[in-house]
Amino acid sequence: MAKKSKRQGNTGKRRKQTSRGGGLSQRWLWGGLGLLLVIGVAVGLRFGLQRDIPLRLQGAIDQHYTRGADRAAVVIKEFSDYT
Amino acid sequence: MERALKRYEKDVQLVLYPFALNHRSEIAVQVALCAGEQGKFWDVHQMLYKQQARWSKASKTLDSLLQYSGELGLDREALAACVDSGKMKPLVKADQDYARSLQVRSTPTLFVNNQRIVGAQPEAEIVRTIRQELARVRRTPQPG
Repeated sequence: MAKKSKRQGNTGKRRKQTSRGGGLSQRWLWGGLGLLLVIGVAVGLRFGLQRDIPLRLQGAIDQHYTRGADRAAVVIKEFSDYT
Repeated sequence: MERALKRYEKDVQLVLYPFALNHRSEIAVQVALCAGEQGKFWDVHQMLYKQQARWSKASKTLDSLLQYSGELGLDREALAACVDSGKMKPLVKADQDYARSLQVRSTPTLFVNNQRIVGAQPEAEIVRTIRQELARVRRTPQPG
């Protein structure tokens, strides 16, 4: 009898551990999803803005002073202040 | 920058956007643009950097700039009339707006194609970026 009750005790403890482990992994899951969401938003903003810049860079050369080859492979736009 | 431009003169075009950050600078940009009407934009552009320490401290900025421009052979009266007319102001404003739209917050800022370089950089760094861009463009198949 004593042995049996000891075994029952162990089983109970194991069940408790399992349910605590489940809570932990669920927390990890939500944490991971949250982290992925934050990374996704950050990457979206980063490349969204980055894509915007080249589009605007394509224009506004007319009426500006240029040097070097026309239709060059590399265009350098220099923004500088005289003071 | 000068050496880099000479080295890659067949592959690189420089487009200058004088970006006025203050009132003195706005006058200087207008003087440079007005000098362009006399075919001397680049001469005045270089003078503005060379004599920067002097004209930027002068009590009358325009007078000082007209004096240095006169030494370069520009018609001072025509230059003064051009600046006074304010006809270059919309161009100055347009460039300021364009710079802000590209999130340019300090000078110098360069865009080598789409690559942004902020702050004064050694020549080698600019050359390195030009080479990278040339290699990238040559790798990209051309349409047609």
